[in-house]
Amino acid sequence: MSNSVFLHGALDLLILRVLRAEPMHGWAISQRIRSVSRDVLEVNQGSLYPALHRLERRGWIAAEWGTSENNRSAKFYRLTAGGRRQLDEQTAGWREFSGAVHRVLQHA
Amino acid sequence: MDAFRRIGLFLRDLLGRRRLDREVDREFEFHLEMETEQYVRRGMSRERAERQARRAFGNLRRHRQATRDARGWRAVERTVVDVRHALRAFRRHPGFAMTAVLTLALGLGATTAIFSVVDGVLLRPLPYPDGDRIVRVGWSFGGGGGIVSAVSPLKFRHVADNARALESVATLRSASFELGEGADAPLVEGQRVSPSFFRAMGVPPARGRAFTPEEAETGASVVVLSDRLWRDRFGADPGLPGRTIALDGAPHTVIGIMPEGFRLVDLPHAGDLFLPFRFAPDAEQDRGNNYTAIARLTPGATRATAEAELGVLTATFRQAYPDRAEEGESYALSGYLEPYVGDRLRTALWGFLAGAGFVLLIACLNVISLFLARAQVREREFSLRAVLGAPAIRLVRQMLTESFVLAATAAVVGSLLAAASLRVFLSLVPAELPRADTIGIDLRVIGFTAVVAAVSAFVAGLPAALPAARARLLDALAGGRSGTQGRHRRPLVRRALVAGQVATSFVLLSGAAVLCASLWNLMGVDLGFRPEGLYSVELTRARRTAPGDGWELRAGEIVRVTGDRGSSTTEAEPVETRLARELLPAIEALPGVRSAAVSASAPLERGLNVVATLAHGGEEYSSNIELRAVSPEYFATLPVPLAWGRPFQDTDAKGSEAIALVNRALARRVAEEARGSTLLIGRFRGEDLCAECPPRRVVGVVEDVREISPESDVRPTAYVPIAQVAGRYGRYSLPRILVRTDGTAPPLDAIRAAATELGFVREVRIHPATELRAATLAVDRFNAVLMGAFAIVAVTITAVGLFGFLSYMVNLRRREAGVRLAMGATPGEVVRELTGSGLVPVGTGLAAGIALTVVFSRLLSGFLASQLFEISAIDVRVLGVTTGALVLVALLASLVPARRVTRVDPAGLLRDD
Repeated sequence: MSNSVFLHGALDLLILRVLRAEPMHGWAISQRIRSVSRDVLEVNQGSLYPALHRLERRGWIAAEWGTSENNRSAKFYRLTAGGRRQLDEQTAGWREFSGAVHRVLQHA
Repeated sequence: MDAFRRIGLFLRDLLGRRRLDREVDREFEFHLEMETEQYVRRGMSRERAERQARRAFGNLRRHRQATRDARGWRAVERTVVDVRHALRAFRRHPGFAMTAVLTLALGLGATTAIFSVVDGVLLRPLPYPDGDRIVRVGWSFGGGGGIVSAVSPLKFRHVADNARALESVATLRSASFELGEGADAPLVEGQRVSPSFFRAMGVPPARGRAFTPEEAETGASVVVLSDRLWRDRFGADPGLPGRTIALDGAPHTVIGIMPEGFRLVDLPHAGDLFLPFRFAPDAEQDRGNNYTAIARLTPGATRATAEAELGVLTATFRQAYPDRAEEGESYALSGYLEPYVGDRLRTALWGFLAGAGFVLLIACLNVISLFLARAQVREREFSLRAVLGAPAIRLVRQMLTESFVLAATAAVVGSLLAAASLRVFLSLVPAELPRADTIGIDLRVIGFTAVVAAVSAFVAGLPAALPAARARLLDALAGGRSGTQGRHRRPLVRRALVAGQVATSFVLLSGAAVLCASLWNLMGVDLGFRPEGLYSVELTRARRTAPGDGWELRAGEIVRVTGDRGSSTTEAEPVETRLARELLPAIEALPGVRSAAVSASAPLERGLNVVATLAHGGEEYSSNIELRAVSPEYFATLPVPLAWGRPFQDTDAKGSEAIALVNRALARRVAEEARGSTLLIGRFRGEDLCAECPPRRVVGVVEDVREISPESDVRPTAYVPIAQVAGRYGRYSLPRILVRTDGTAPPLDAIRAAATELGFVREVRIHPATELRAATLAVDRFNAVLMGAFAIVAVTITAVGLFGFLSYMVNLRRREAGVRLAMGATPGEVVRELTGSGLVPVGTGLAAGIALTVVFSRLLSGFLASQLFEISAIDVRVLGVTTGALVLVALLASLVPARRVTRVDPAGLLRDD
C-alpha cells in the first residue's frame, strides 16, 4: 500500500520498459512488473488500463488484437519508435531523480 | 505523420465509440480470466479465485471510466450530447432556429460573396512563381498620385541596362495574327515580347525553348504557342515544335509550347502566341510612352530598394536626356496587376467588404437578441440544472454549442447563397475587373467563411451564455416567473441591440442612397450630344488573305495585294479616306440614316491624347489635349454645334491648308473666341517634338461636349480633318464609323453588309451610343446596386429584430395593458404608450446612425470623393430620406405587436394571475 504513492508516477515508465522486449497483453504486463520487482511493486491491476490507453493516445505504444498463449483473443501492446525515445528519456530522468533522493537520504 | 495518426485514432474513437467500449470490456474480461486461472492453478476454488481476481483488479466501473477518459472521450461525448441537445431544442422552436439561421446566412452570404471577389481580384497571389516579385515600371507625370503611363523605348533601355534591383526587364505588346491560310483563317491574339519576358514571368516553355536575344534582335520568324492553342488547333501534336505555321500569311517556326494553364492574368484572351519583340530603330517613337515594362526583383532586392534605385535612374536619365523628362516626372514602380485594378475599384471593393461586415454585424445583433429572449424563457431550466449540480461552465458550453450549430448551418446556407448570387454579381462587375474569371467559392473562401462564422457564433452566443452561468438557486425557487433581476437587465440590453441595428442600417442605407443619388446625377448629365439614335461602328482589323488577291492594312494604308506574296502592290490608299469615299455614301444612302462620319476615335471610348500648344497673339498655351481626327460629317452626326467659324469640308484634304477646330474649353485658355490662333500639335512649352506636324490655323470654335464620359470634365479638345492626318493615327486599328439615325429602326444589318462589302474588314461590331454611355457608368452602377442590396438586407434583418423586440415588450406589459384597459383607457392610448416606449431605441439608433454616418464620411472623405459625383457624402436630403425610410420600417414592424395589445382580454389576464 505504501509503495503505491511512488508507483503512481512511475507506472508509465515501467510499462514502457516492460514492453521494450516484446509485445504483451495487459495481464502479462502486470505480472511482469510484479515478478521482476519481486512482488514489491504490485500494481492495482485495473489502474494499468487507463495508463495503457493514455500511452496509446500519445503514440508511445500501439495496440493490436492477437491470440494469447492459451489461445484466446487478447489485446497486445507494443512499443513504438516514439515510445522507445520516451523510454530512454524517462529512464535517464528517473535515474537522476532517484539518485538525488538517495543522496539526500544518505547525507542530509 | 504522428499528428495524422493521432487524428485518425481520434476519428476512429469518435465514430466507433460503442465498439471501443466493448473492446475495453473484452480486455478487462480477458484480464480477469487470466488472473482467475492463475489462482485456480494455485489450488483455489473457481468461485474464490474469481472473487480474488476482482479484488486484485479494483473497482471495475471506475477503471472503465478512467480508461475512457484516458482516450479523451469525455470532451467528444459532451460535444455530441450538446449538439444533440441543441438540435432537439431547435426542433422544438423552429421559428427561432429559422430566423436565426436565415439572418446569419444573409450576413455570412454577403461576406462570403464579397470576400471571394476581393480575394480573387486583390489578394490571391499571381499564378506565377514568386508572382509578388514581378513588377511594372511606368513613368509618372506628376509626382506622387499623378498619372502613370508606360515608358518610351529610351526610358525602357535606360532601366533595362542600368537597374540592378530589377532583372529580366521585358516589354510586351498585344498583336493579332491570322493563323493559317485561306479566307476563313481565324484571328489569334498574342503578344510580341522581349526574350527576357519568360524569365520575368518565371515560366519557361514546357516544350521546346524561348527566343534567344539574337532572334529578337534580328526579328526572326519564330513563335511560342500557348498550351490552349496547341491543343485546340493542333491536336496537342508533340511533333509541332520545329515545324512551320503561317501567321498573317508568313511562315513562322514553332519553337516552344507554354505550360498548361499559363496565361496573362491581365490579358486572359491575348496570350495564345508569343513572338519576339524588338524596338523599331525609329527616333520618333521615342516620344511616346507606349511600352509596358515588366521586370522581376533581383534576389535580395525588395520593392523599397528597387524604388530607391529608380529614383537614382530618374536623375541619371534626366542628366543624359534633359529634353526627354520634365521636372517632377519620374519612374514609377507598381505591382504587376496594380495598374489594372484602378484605385477607384480597389477602394470600392474594400468598401463593400466593410459593407458586408456591417450586414453581418446587424445579423449578429439580431441573433444575440433572439438568444437573450430564449435565455429568459429558459432561465428556470438553467437554474434548475445549476441546482442539480451542473457546473456553470457546462451550461455556458451548451449555449455556445447552440450558437455554433446555428452558425455552422448558416455558413452552409450562406455559402450556397453566395455561390448563387455570385453569378448575378459577376454579370454586374465592370468589365475592367481583372481575373474576374477566376472568382469563385473555393477552399480559401470557405476557410474564410468558417472563421468568420466561428467568430460570429461566439459574438452571437456569448451575451446570452454568460448570464446562464450565474443562474441562481433563488431564481429557480422564485416560482412561476423568472427572476426579477433578469427582467430589468435584459430589456436594457435588447434596447441597446435594437438601437445598434438601427444605427448600422442607417449607415448602410444612407451609403446606398448617396451612391444611387450619384448614379442618378451621372445618368442625368447632359453630354452635349444625344446618344439616342447614335451608333458607333467598330471595324476590326483588315483581312489579310494571302497569297493572291486580298487587302492588307500596312502602316495605316489599305493596300490591295495582287499576284504572288511580296510582289507588286497597287491601290495603296489611307484607310480613313477610303472609308470616307466608299463606305460613308453607302451608309448615308440607307433608309433611316441621317448622316455618317469617320472618326479615328469614337466618343465615349478612349481618345487620343497628345501634347499641343495653342498660340494666340504673342501668347502660347501648352497642355495635354484630346485630339480627334474626324471627317466633315462628324459635327452634324454627333452633333457638335459650331460657336463660330466654318466646319470641315471635303476640300480639307492632304496638301491643302492645315486647319483645326478647337472646343471652348481649349479656346478659353487663350481667349474667349480664340480667333486668329494657331494650333501646334506636338509643340510643348516652346519645344517642337514633332517634325512633320504642321502648324494648323484654327478656323472655328465648337461647343463643349462630354466625349469621354459623363463624369469626367470636358477636356481641352482639338479636331483635325481626318483626311489631313490620314495614315498617321490609324496605324494600329481601323477608325470608327459614326451613324446618326432618324429614330426609326436602325438599318444595322445593312450597315454591316456595306462594311463587309469593302473586302478588307474582318468583323463589324455596332455599339449603340446609349450602351457605350451605360458602360462608362459600370462602376457607379455596380456600386449603387451592391450597396443597395446590402441596405435592403440590413433593413430587413433590422425590421425582423425590431418586430421581435416590440412583440417581447408588448408581451412583458400585457398585464399592465390589461389593467389599464379594464380601468377604461382606450386601446389607442394603450397602443401609443406601449409601442411608443418600444420605439424609443429606434430614435436612439437613428441619432447614432446620423452621427456615425457623419463620422464615417469624414474619415473616408478621400474614398468617397472618388466614388461620388456631384453629391456630398453628407447630404441633408439623403439623411432625411434615410431617416424617413427607417421610421416607416419601424412603424410597419410595430403594427402587429400593437394590434395584439388591443386584443388583450383584461378579464382573462386578471384571471390568469
